[in-house]
Amino acid sequence: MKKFIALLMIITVVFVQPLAVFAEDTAVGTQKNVEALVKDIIEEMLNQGKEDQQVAKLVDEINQSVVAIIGRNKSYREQDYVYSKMPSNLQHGSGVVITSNGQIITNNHVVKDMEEIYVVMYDGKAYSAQLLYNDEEIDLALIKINRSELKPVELETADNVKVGNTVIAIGTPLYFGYRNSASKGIISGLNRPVDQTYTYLQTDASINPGNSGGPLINMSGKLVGINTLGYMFYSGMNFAIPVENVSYFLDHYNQFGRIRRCYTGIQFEENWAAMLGIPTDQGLRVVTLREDAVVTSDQLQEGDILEAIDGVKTSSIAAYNEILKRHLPGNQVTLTFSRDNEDFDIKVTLKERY
Amino acid sequence: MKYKRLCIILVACLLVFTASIPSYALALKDDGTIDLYEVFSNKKDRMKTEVGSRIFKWSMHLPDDAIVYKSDKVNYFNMYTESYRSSVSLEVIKNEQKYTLEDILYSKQMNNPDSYYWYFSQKEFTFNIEQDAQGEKYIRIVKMDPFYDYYLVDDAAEEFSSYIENRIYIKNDYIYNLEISMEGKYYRENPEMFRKLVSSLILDYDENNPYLKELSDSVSEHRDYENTSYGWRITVNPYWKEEGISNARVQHFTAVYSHEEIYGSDESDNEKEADFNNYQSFREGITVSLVSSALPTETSEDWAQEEIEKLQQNYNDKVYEVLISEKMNLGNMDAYRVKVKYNTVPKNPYIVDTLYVIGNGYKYSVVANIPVKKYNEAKTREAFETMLKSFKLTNQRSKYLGKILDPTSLINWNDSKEIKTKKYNFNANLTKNWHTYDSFYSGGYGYYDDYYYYDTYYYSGMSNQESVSAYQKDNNMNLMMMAGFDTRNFDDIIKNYVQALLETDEVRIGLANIEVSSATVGTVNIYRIITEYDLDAINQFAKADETKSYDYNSISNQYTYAVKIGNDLYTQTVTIPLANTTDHTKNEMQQVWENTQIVGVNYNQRITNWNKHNNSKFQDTQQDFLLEDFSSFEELAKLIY
Repeated sequence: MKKFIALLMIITVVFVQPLAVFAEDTAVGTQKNVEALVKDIIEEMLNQGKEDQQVAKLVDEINQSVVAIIGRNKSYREQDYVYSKMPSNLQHGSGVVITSNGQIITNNHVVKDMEEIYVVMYDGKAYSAQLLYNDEEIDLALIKINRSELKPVELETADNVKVGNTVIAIGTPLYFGYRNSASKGIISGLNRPVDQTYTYLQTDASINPGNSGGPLINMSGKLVGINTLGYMFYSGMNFAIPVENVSYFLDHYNQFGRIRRCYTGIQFEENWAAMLGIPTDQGLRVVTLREDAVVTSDQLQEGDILEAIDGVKTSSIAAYNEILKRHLPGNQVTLTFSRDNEDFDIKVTLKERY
Repeated sequence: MKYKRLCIILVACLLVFTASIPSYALALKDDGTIDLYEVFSNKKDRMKTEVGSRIFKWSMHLPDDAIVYKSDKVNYFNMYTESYRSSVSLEVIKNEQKYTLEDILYSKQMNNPDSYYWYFSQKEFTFNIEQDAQGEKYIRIVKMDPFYDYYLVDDAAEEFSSYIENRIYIKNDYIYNLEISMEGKYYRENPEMFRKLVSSLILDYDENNPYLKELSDSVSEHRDYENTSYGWRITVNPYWKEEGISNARVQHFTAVYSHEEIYGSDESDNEKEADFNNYQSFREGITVSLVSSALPTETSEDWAQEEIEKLQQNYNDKVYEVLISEKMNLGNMDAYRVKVKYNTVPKNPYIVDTLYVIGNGYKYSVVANIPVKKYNEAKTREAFETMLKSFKLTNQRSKYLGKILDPTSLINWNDSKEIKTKKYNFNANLTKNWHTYDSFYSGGYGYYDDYYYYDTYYYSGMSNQESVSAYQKDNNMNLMMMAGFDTRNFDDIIKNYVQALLETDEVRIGLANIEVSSATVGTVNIYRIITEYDLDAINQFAKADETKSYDYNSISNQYTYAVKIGNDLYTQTVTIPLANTTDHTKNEMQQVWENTQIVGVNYNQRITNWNKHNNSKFQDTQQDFLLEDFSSFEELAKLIY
């Protein structure tokens, strides 16, 4: 029995020792630390509460500018082996009001094949819409409904769009009954060459089929992009047409009634590294010249490399288009090419592509 | 001057007023109260609440959210409705055996489920004959899917299993098998919804019911079909439809329903007769093809005459009859019509009515294939003729449509072409009329081309075999040259082979003749074995016995030459379908042998005399030979079908 009591005491002493050390540490340190920690937590919670309120307020305000768009897709052939009273060719997307008199911007792919376009507002009212202008390459369309005193969304200036900004996507994902669904995320990247046309803004805010054409809004309630596409079966890899491209589209429409797109008539081939997104100094390889190209075959030949436009280096077709976007037909630019490691400049007047 | 100004002001006002109409109209309807259900609903079908088939005489409830999948004839119908959590299927089949409900009940009950895997079987709880609200008797089967019992314990399986009910009716000379499967939980909470669906089946079609959707109505009237890729248009008959993809280069149209199904069984005698002689060697319907580009000087008449010449060369004149050969007046198209009756299957002759059209720089053929039995029905014949004559050329063509060369005009068919075996010194000099099996295109399976196109046939009784073959397109002649190692005595080989031929029924009763001849060149023996059918005799034989029917495209006359040098056996066989046996094709066959060399020797040139053998010497009284003996260098089955 004595042996057992002795053993028990030894064990007790051994196990109580660390407690003392731990107790000492808390006791010494640190009443102040605990207080600071609690203060931080409370502050964080208060901030979180404020942010929640801010997001809720923002979504509520922006929702009034967000619309759902629906129509029949006229490009599908009806199949005789299927019959339903439910129309099989309905397609829907989203849009955002940009003028108080009913102009709405959306993706071109939302409305392109629609027989007739219908817009459903936040308040559930449905309107027939008129297609004012659409451009397949930039994938934007401008439609109009016959309703005034709408609340338009304000466009953010491109300089204020930064990676890491909190953004909210609002739209009609998957099912028309899910109109004005909001999701939150951040701007994950800028100038992403998703396809060969223009660059996109990358976000991890949830975007699903049906969100197309809907707005991506920053915490100031301003439009930073039009939600356009995303990778299926991956998470958080979504893309929006950046606000500078939206402005470009609208400015050209307002000034000229269409996008006046610049054209050189030179056909390029991208190098494989650019296609894989690997940083490279390699330019664009000239493949052929169209008949109405701004250069002649005496000046340029197959295999020449376009290194820069007005001194701005370019290695992808999307980047090339982005540079041309800053110009108007009739502008003069200097194209820098290389042949056999020798650079040479050609000054050209840009034409318009119809 | 004053009036002029007034006029201008009036016109301007009118223009302003007219221009404001669309925006006013838009404003009127655009107050945000558009009902999208109204907008997107099919105006014609908006009020439909029932669905059915006029042809098969049934109708049932159509929920507003139902999605229906149907067969062309609508004899198979499958419907899913989310609002009833149910799938509905209805199969309608002809009650040819005149079954009763009791017969079907017995058959269903006696089907031994032990013979199936568990997941094919079902758990039946009710198997009864009952009567519905309309007084129709039916077999009622209530069952559950055994799937749930596999995964779930007893109570859970009972809870989740779908409720399935079959109702089998016999009416209108059809067997109707309705099956409705409703989600188990939903059924237990809403049994009346199930009853609504299941009791809505009526075995009748009310033509006056405006709420009833006829599932074939998309094809029930004349429709214009336009092929916008190849620039033509045709008016499709009611209850006909196109097969396969639209805008195809070769577009086939066919009737969805039989004459009896559309018009009833007033001509049932014809139909019954067709039941056991319904073999068709052709594809019934109308086929429109863009054949090739046309030369500037080509006319439809020249083209049609060429085709008639080809027919005369390659078809026995007893198996066809040219009924019409005339220039057609179809708008401003250059068209020529040739109508031919084929008796290649005497019990089921058919008409091939072809419109040769040249226009838009292309050659188009519109071909109607009709069994004579149907051609004799006035309504069916009219349907074919109306559709054929409705063919028109349009200017709506694909921008990619370019020149399509006719390859037949690029090749000199009389140029020589050699075929030979690789290991054995055995070759024949043919013309380009003989095609060999293409080895330059593997159908996308380039890695396996050796495997797919290895031109070898295997026969027992022979080893180290090698063979080559060729065929002609317009007359289906086939050539097979084979060499191999065979140590048997040559006479025995021939005896066994001929003996088997003599044993075939058609030879025994004199419908086919076997002629065996031999010749000797030095030490080499050569046999010639000819099997020829007597077309007149077969016609008479089949005419006298309704149960016998022959297809002259499938019966082939056969011309075999066999040579044995040492232990190597060389055979050459040309088969010509009986329908295609003409002086021209027999001459083509003869040319093959005359231009054949075996081990460098053209034996035909050295043969001075053929000795004809009496067939009785090949007839053995002992019937103890083995099958392998006569299948050693030719498949006997090829002789008949």
